[in-house]
Amino acid sequence: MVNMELIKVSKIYRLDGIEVKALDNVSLQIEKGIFMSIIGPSGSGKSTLMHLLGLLDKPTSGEIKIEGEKVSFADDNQLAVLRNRKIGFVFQSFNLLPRTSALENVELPLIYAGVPTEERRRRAKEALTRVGLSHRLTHFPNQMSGGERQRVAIARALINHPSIILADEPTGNLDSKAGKEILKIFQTLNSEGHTIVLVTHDLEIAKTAQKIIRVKDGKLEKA
Amino acid sequence: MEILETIKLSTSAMRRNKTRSFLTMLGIIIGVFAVIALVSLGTGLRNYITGRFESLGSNNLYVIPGGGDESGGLNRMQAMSGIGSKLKPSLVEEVKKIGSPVSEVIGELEVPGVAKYRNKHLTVTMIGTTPEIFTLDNLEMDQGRFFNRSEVSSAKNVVVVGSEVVNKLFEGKEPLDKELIIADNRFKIIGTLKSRGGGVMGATADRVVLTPITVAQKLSDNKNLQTILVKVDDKNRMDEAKYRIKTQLLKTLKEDDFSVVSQETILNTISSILGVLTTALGCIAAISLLVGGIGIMNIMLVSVTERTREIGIRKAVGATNRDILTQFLAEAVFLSLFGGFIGVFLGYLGTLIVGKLLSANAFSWWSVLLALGVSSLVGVIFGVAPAITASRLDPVEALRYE
Repeated sequence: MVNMELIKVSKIYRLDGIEVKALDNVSLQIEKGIFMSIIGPSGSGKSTLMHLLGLLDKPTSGEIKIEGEKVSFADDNQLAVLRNRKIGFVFQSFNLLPRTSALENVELPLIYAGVPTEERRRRAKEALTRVGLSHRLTHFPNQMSGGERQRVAIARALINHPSIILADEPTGNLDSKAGKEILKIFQTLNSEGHTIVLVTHDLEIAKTAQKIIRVKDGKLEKA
Repeated sequence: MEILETIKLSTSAMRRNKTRSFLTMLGIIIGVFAVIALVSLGTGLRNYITGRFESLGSNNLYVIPGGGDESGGLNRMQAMSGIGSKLKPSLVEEVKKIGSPVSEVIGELEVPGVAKYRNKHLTVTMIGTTPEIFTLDNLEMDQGRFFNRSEVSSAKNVVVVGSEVVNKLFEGKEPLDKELIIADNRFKIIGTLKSRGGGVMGATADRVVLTPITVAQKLSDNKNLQTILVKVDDKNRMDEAKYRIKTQLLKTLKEDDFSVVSQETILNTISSILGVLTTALGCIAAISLLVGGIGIMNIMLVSVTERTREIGIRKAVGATNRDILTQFLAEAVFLSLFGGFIGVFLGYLGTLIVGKLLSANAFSWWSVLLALGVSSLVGVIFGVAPAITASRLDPVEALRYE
């Protein structure tokens, strides 16, 4: 089964009248339960690919299917709902809300999903326990270490049972020990059945995954 | 997103930036306070004056100088000041000739002046009148007696003074039989009046010096009367009395020289003038509300820029444009509504003080509704632009924002 599919997708940016082809006629299938790495140097188009996979950006041409259904990029509302239900993000810079507790950060996607308060609280606690943060529920991001913050972000990505967890350089802001712990969590999640796409520039990190895709000059090649 | 979530979200944002929220609200607080306080002041003044007039009894008619429309207006106020009056004192007798329903007729002449006693001075209104005023105006003596008819006909320099004159010039000393100096003439105090009630306007009513009309005529350049007071014995015959007085006076005067007005007419005049005044004050106060609204808009725009990344995060995890719009709009409305509530509270306190000074019920509920309505409207109007800006942010750009 295929969770997500890119069919002949191109993305062209216009910068001061000059067209830049960030992605050139790219097709990609992400099977359910896979742990995939996308690797490439900066400027290769890997961020663009990640934004398209995360439904944060619209392709210039081509189409994207999620769980077999075509994504309409004309409808911002549909995109927001799909991001909420199908995609979990983990960013390099954590992107947690400041002055907001770990619990409330993790609850955030459920608020927009319209889940009642009590269920939200329960599920957020569960998710935080799963990433080993049951002792940090009411802490603010600035009271936690980088590794802990990234684990909160992972809990947030997990909470609405997404089809894909997209991780963009998740270890980029961490020391190697914390980085390893985070990768370990991804492996565990994958072994539990979660589909994970890890975007990185570091081959060593990419090797954690079962499959590595290389992006170069806007095109994909298998590593 | 549910309403409850929206409320929670916007109040928590306010709590996070307490000082800023308070300062932003201050504009609205001051605006709402000003609207309520000024409108209440106007309304209170109106209630007070209406009350005062009603206490004078309603079956009096007044003949005043100057013609014009009977409905009231600014010419009427000018006419009431008595400048260029053509009402000769002899007209009092003319009006008396009418008989029933006219029961009593009094001529009055006002002379403003400064009353002196030893080294103390007080600006007073000297009213030349006749003894009938005592019952007609429901006056009450505190000490001594009122002047009598023979004192009027002999133009004797005697005065009856209001309670404020006694308090200010004598400060607890015995005023009876003392001499006041007004316009270089000596006047013997033969009686003092009870206070006609405290308050701003009452103070003027108590700052009077009543003297025989003949005496006032000696002091004044214009020997003519300012007002002829007519008491009608039957309230139902007011219109008839008015008509007959008019016919009688037209024998000697021209139509433009005088008007016969009832208390109601005078009341309407004052009431309409105060109404305009209240509206004007309210409008001026509303400008400060507008300024408060601009303050909110400014802060919300800053807040949107500052929280660009937060908006990006929220959009990434599934917030729709509408969710973001609602969030920022709710924040703006809450800021101004909170400010509005505090403003109403302060305005209420202010009104209580005004009410104490005017001894009239001044608080008007419609000003509260208006202020709250306007302040939430201000929140919506000035919150919409920043909220739209926020909702339209591109998630990729917003997440990159440093």
